Amino acid sequence: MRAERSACPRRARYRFRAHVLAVVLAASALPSLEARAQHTVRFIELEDLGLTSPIACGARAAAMAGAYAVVGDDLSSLLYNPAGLARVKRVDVELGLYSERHEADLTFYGEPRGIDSRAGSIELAGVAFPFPVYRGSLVLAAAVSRPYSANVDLHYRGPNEVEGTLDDFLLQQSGSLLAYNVGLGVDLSAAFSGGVSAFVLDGGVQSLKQSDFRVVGAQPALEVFVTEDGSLDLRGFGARLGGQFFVHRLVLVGVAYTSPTWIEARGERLIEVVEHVENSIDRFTQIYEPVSATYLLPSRLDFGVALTLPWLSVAGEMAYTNWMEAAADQRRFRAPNLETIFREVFDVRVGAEATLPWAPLRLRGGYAHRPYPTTFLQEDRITNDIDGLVKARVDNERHDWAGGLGLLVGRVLTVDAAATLTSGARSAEHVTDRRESWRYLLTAAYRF
Amino acid sequence: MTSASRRYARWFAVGTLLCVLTPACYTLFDHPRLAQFDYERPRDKRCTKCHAPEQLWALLHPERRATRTETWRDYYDYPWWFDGRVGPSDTTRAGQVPEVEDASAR
Repeated sequence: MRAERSACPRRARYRFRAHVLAVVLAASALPSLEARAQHTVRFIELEDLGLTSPIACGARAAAMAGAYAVVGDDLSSLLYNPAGLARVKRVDVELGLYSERHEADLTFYGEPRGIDSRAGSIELAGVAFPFPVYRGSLVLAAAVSRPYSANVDLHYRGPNEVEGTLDDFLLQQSGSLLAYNVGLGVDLSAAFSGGVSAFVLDGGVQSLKQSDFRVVGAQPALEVFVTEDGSLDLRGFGARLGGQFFVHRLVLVGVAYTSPTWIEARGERLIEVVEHVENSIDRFTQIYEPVSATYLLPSRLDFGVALTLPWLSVAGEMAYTNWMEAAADQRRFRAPNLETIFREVFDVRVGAEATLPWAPLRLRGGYAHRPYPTTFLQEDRITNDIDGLVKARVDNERHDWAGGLGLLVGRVLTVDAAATLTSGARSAEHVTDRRESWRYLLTAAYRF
Repeated sequence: MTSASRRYARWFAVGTLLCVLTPACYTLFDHPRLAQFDYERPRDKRCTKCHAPEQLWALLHPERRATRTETWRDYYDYPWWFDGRVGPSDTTRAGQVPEVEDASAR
């Protein structure tokens, strides 16, 4: 389909964009096509903003690969299953740091390119306060966490055989979303705890896209440079509801429901286009435009079972997310043939925590199978148009491997450390996208 | 808001309401009034005047609750509002036969 297009459609598109402020005018001239093109941009943004890849917060939970909705019994439960807060009996103050390293191997029309980026900051801070009770439990908690990271570095370079151009595309993006969580956990019976929490998301993202392409064989020679400098402010909200039930002294069942999450993005971008035509004067165009979008992330249902022995906890969890409900500007994501871009996803997570009898030390490990919510890839990041959106093969679904340890210092302080490795790979006819992320977390918790 | 979202929001509101309203069924902030004896605990009366510490512990840690080794029990399970050292002995599970180190407190 794409190969049948005219010899240099991108050249025509950029000229159009440069001269008549394409985004604005095309919207009035061709409303439906432009809306679809804009929607493709939204899909790419959704992935680039990291909204399809929530991060496990808290070193203890991360070391169990996020299998924490059942066994969670500290402040971090606020982020996984607020029912776990009901098991907090002392005032719990936590602070967590993280450091991450992303590696991406990208291939564009057979040309490989490796990218390496790093980031680090505070990832969790909060407090849980158990009310003095005669029977049962009531615990209030508040925490700030960093569930989404928008740090992305991409670089494609090579001959675009479909467009007949030599492409070079670079994306450097940094930022993250903070979640301000409040919630409570309460004992509803001797064996059942419930909890509810709400969160407000707030963050910002800076991005710089640079691309240039040369039209192969054009006479006179034509080269176009495009720089897009943008910033986005992100705000959103959602809520979580959960329960933990001791079906037996050693067997615990947990369920957590996360509501759909609304996220509003507002910002602006500056686009500069330079057209260089051989033996001619360069043409320079600058476009400044506001950007706004509303995203809806789908709800999520977590369910799990755990065996809790004094020296060993083993938890198995499954989560269902119907990503087909994801929407941007109240429209669901669809490919050119109207196929839904996203799909239903079942995450499976297994985590274990062993308590050493001879030392105040705990060892943890976990594994998570987290399929990609979408199998589509954008083959042409320079224009991000809908024709570049293609169904990809999943060569390796996302897997998380995690490990860590926890040390009890005195009777009031724990220091937890975790390391996680996430990997996954997708490929389409002209591009491959293989990524690996190492994440290191360190959390200190003090109990008054 | 889509119809599906509205449905989710409704379920969520119901769940939240249940969580807020039902604690009264089990979680008690204070000693319940004993109607048959027409007794209400005075604010200044210590729980340990009438209750053995193990009874108090059991109310907060029912037998079904997770067990822990001794090393970690203090850190996780010992309520901050318990004044004395009241808790299960090394060889017992939560909710069963605790030992008392300082029963005079509270």
